[in-house]
Amino acid sequence: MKEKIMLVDVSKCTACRSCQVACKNWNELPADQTENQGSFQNPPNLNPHTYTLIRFQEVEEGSSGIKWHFRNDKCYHCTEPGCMKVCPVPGCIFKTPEGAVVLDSAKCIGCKYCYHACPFAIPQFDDATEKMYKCTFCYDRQAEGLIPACAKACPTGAITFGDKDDMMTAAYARAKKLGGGATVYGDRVLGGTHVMYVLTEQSSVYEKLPVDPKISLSVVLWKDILKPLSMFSLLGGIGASLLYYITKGPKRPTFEEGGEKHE
Amino acid sequence: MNKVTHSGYELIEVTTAFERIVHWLFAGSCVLLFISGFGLMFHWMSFIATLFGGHYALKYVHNFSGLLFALSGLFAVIVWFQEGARFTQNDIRWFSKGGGYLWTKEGVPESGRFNAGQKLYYVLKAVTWVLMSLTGIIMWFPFLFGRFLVTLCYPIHVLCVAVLAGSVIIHLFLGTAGNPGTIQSMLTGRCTRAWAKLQHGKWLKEYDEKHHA
Repeated sequence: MKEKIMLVDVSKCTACRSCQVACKNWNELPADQTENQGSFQNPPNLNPHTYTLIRFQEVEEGSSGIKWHFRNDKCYHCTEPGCMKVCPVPGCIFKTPEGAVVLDSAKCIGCKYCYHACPFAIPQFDDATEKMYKCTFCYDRQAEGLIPACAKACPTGAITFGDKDDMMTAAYARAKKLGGGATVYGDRVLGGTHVMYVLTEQSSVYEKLPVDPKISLSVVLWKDILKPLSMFSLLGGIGASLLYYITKGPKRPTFEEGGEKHE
Repeated sequence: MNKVTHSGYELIEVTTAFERIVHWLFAGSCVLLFISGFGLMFHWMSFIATLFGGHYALKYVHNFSGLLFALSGLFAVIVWFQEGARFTQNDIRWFSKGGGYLWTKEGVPESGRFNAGQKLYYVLKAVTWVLMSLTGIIMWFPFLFGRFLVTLCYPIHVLCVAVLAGSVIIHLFLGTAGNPGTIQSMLTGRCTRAWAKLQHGKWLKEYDEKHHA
């Protein structure tokens, strides 16, 4: 099994939202009744039954008026996923050899740790089922030799999917060809993400796209330092007590013959 | 004054029934929280989840024993505040002798109803009670608070675990096998005079002044 990359070339995206529909179709997710929020972005954000979304961003440009940025957003499938680091249930969040980070919602207990541990705040909580949901990288399709539904449905080639080496080469070649401020996003963050972008501008231009996403210091402190320390403390307490008992022994009261005199 | 002879076996009441109820509610919640918390924190301890009917059930065991912890802890912190939070010169001398437990048995000052070590344990419990309850509630409802605050709560919660795990084990040891007779103070509330003389000499003197003057 080779590591795979999904490359999202925002310069080719026409915001047709085929990816959104294909995702709902494959994952059997219901449509959302939404309200007009003054944007074509619909639904307004990722939610428990919307694993992928085209973000519509309007940017004002001096003479020519307005420019659109269309960006397909979803789970980035990090090599070092924050969600998996904090999940308390074994096997609930797991990685596949291809690079998918899968959240098995059936096992989810709704602790919501993953939401805040994810640098992109991707996992979405469903109040009805009390479980988290997110993009699965279509790992079930991949297991059958199919490419993810969104990539399959994309009519313009904005979403492509393939072996890591090929996609990396393609990403940098495309960014170079686009020129200007075009950049590649994803390979240098969180151990390398399996969803990468070719952006036409600096990553800071895009909404909801952290320039330097990191697993927060709190999570690192929690899971890498304090968690082992608490086990050390528990075992240390047991060890110290046992050692004390067998070396110094208990402190026993003495019961004097005939009782104690007291004035 | 009349001379009174006491047997070392004579039982005297060291704690009130209310104190014992508060103690066991607080202690029971702590034990449940430790077991469920470790079961949630360490994947290899999943057998704990199995025992309670799965991780989902274990989460709620943790959350609701947390509520009991917060409530009983409030009473515990109040009930023992007078004795637990007030350190004296005597306590500093007690610490300097390691309470007679470690490097010397000589020159340990007699203690009141709480010795200096117990006071230290009170302070640890009081501080972690506040931190655990606050961070626990925020972690239970993470969508009601900002990301920064919520993520700050995780390490604080587990820092308290690290502080408490060892202290609670030592508290258990010192209250049972380490000091025979002590557990009675939290069961029937009545201990022997010989025990009181050894463990809380100053308190015994005050007790006698009050009861046999």
